[in-house]
Amino acid sequence: MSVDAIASTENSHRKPLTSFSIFAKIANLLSLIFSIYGFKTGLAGINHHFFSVSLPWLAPPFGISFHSDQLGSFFTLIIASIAVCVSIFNCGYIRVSSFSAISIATFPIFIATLELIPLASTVPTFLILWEMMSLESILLVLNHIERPNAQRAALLYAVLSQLSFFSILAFFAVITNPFDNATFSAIGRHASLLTPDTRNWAFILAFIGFGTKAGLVPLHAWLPKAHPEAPAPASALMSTAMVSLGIYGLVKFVSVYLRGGPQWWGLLLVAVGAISAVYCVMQSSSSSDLKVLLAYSTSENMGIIAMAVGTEVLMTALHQTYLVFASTLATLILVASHAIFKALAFLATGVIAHVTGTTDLDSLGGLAKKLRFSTAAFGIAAISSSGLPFGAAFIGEWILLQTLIHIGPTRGLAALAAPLAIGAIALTSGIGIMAMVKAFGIGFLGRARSDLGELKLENFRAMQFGMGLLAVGNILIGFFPSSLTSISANIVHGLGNGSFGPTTQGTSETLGFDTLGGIILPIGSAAILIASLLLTTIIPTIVGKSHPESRTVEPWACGARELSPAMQYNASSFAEPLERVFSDVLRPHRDVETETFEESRLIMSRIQFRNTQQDAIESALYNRVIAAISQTAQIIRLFHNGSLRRYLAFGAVGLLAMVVFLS
Amino acid sequence: MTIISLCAQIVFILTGSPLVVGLMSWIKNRIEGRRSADVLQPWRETRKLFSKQVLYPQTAGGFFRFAPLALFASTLSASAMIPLVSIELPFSSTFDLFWVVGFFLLGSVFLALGALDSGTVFGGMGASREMMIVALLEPSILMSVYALSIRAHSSNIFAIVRATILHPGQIASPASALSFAALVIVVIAESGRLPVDNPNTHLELTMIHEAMTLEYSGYPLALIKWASAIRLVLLLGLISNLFLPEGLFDSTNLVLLGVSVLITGAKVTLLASILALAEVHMAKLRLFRVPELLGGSFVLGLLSVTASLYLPPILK
Repeated sequence: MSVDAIASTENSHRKPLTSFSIFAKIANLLSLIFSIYGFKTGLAGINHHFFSVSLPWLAPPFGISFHSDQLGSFFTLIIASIAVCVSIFNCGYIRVSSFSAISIATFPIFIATLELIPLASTVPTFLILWEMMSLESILLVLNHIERPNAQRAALLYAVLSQLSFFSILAFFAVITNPFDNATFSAIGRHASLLTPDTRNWAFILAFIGFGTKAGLVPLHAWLPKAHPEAPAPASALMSTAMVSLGIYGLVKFVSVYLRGGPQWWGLLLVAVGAISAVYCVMQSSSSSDLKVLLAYSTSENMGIIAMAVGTEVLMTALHQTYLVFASTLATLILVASHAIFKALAFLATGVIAHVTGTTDLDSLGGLAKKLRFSTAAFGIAAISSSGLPFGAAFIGEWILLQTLIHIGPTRGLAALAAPLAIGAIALTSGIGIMAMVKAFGIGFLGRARSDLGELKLENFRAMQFGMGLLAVGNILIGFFPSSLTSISANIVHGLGNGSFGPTTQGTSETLGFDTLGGIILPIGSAAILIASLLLTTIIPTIVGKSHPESRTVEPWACGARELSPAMQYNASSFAEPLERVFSDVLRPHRDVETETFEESRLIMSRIQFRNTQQDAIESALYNRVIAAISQTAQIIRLFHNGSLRRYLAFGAVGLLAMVVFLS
Repeated sequence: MTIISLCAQIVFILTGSPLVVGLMSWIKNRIEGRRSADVLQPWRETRKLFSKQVLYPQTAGGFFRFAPLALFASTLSASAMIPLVSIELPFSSTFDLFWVVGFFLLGSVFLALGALDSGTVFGGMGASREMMIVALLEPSILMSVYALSIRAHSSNIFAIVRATILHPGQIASPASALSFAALVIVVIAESGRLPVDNPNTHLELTMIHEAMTLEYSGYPLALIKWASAIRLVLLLGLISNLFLPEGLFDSTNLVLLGVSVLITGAKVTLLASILALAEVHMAKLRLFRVPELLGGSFVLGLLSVTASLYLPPILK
């Protein structure tokens, strides 16, 4: 009997109500209410019914105020759609998993904060919510506060999110007009009056601040550390909604308010995006923990989205209006599709982690026979994310590729940008396919690599419903992309204030640009595929004579008695060829320990193999920065010897210096 | 009419592809001084496999059984999307080259997942190697698509072929020569021929595609073999029609359709013979030398793109 079936029969055994479970129920209800309300607000916003609330008494002296626009509503809609599914999933998950009380209480507030950020209309509102979002996600990372890994991850994440916050703070300091109010519309008016130098500084600050949140290299290190520690529903939200807000910041402030800039802005974004995408997809393909693999894949996708934003900035600088439209469209579609498939992948991983107690691919395997529903969910997410036809990720990547191949001859560095960007996207999607085949094939197919015991699952219905909704969303985007593209195209037209002119967007189910001469029709190809599948099933009866019933036999074991499950390829061996090809970047770290018999040193009694993954950028950059900081601290410590007289002397010298300089 | 062209194309590919494989092994055997079975041998083998009992390993799961069907269906779908005997097929305005190459990928992915689901050593080994090649081949493929699309201002495969028919002079350009060279490597790697993979080997150290299919028997094995034959013919036909579209007619005449079938058949036969001749003189590359070959293909594609953006064709 499959576990899914066990799950449904065991639903009748309900746990007695305790104060803790009532508390969890209230939290769940709140998250559902917040996410459904956010969904309604977002949906109304993209149809021009804007959300507008002003609370001048809250957080004086500035007050809190929200006034949404179409772009913000679009992001709220994406976040809320994910949040609805995650909240439904959580109704079942919260009771079986080890959520701490703080995490349970934080969860609904986190959802509300995420949904409100794109609706904020003043700088203080935005900053307060932004900081709240970081703090809440740190609390969620610290779900198991006693684990040393969780503490380290939370520390790294806290440092990087403060770096992000201070850059954003500095960005607003540079860009706001000190004599005007701090609303975003005032920023928009002021931005065009700034000097080119100030604008460059503003761009760099925004890039660091929002890029860190989106997980771009080299400030990506928090993602693969934080995700394995946070509970699955929180990971799902952080990896989809929160990183998307980094992209929202880039689009809103760089493209909309700064209205683009010199070519190098775009080139920098494309270059950093390409490096993030390629580097993180390599890391993703070589990691053997399912959650780390997914976290790196998030960084990879954000890299591709940053490339789309960069293309948009570059095209604005080159005055190719139509391509500005196409690349902005690609950005929005990539954000939406990434959110939907990555959330599904994280939720399915959560079920696996709960049922088997591990996310280590090397000890998983054979789950397809036991957990049919979760396997199907992860399979859909894996296919969707790997840029294959009918996958949700394909649509956005295809529009970006169409944009890039139509750039045409340009001068300077921009001439090489398009071919190299296409190469980077192609390499990313190639290795991404490998990573997903590995995650799905090693983790879910084949035979179980370790004895996982009886897989037991309770309260599975809510989880199934949450994952099912996301799976249907993935399939809809993959086969009928036109609804998503027409919504996104509307938003992009709104951003351009009609400057894009008429853009043929394809009718009904075709997707494409007549101007660019590229159209795809997923549903037409799906018809061909189904016809082919039918033909394939009848071909054996046409070509061959009747054949006897099939039979199961022992697999070929190269002459050995039997094959043990440990002989299968595992996650490390699957990635080994690619690791070897990219050994300069990936730097795999291998230890082989052998023990020999006393009698003969040539015969080994035990061999132990360990393969640890290292993040080359992290070890090269972060360790150096940390070393430099502690060295500086060491020097400062020389002056702090604890003697009161010395401190008094410092005070006197400081006062004297101030008097001298100020007079 | 487009339906008739489609049927002609599908029948042409289904019946012709085993013959092409038979022809290639006949040529190789004769040059190597061995006696050879005639070109119909792959067809006989296919018929035999379809009539045999199917054996499934105990360790395999459901995906193992589904993979050959998915591989064959996706390859068959790709063959309905490529201008082999006609430049007008149902939905042909929607067959973007980026989309169509995705169907080849889809087949590879399903076969690799099926191999991993066999629960044996060789399945994983083959899948791992195949996926490495797929991953590294992807940049070369997309770069070649980019290079081809510049001529036609579109990445629609039928639009590219039409543009070549309308302006045959554009083929005589440095960009075309470079993209042709890049595509030849792509075709060889994608169809699993020497020097990337040896379809006749059963040596553990070298096999890639064969390792994935080791546990298959009966009609699933026949479907896999047939699918790789179809893939070879599709790629050969594609490369010949992209650079030499003579023999494709923009007409609804049945006689002309027959002529197109014959001419495409001749072109594919010729290319297959050249490939077989070349394979006799070639050894398989070490697995970890293959990335260098694929990197070379990528650089050729990149040069072709820059050449077609900045160098004019020789003949106007």
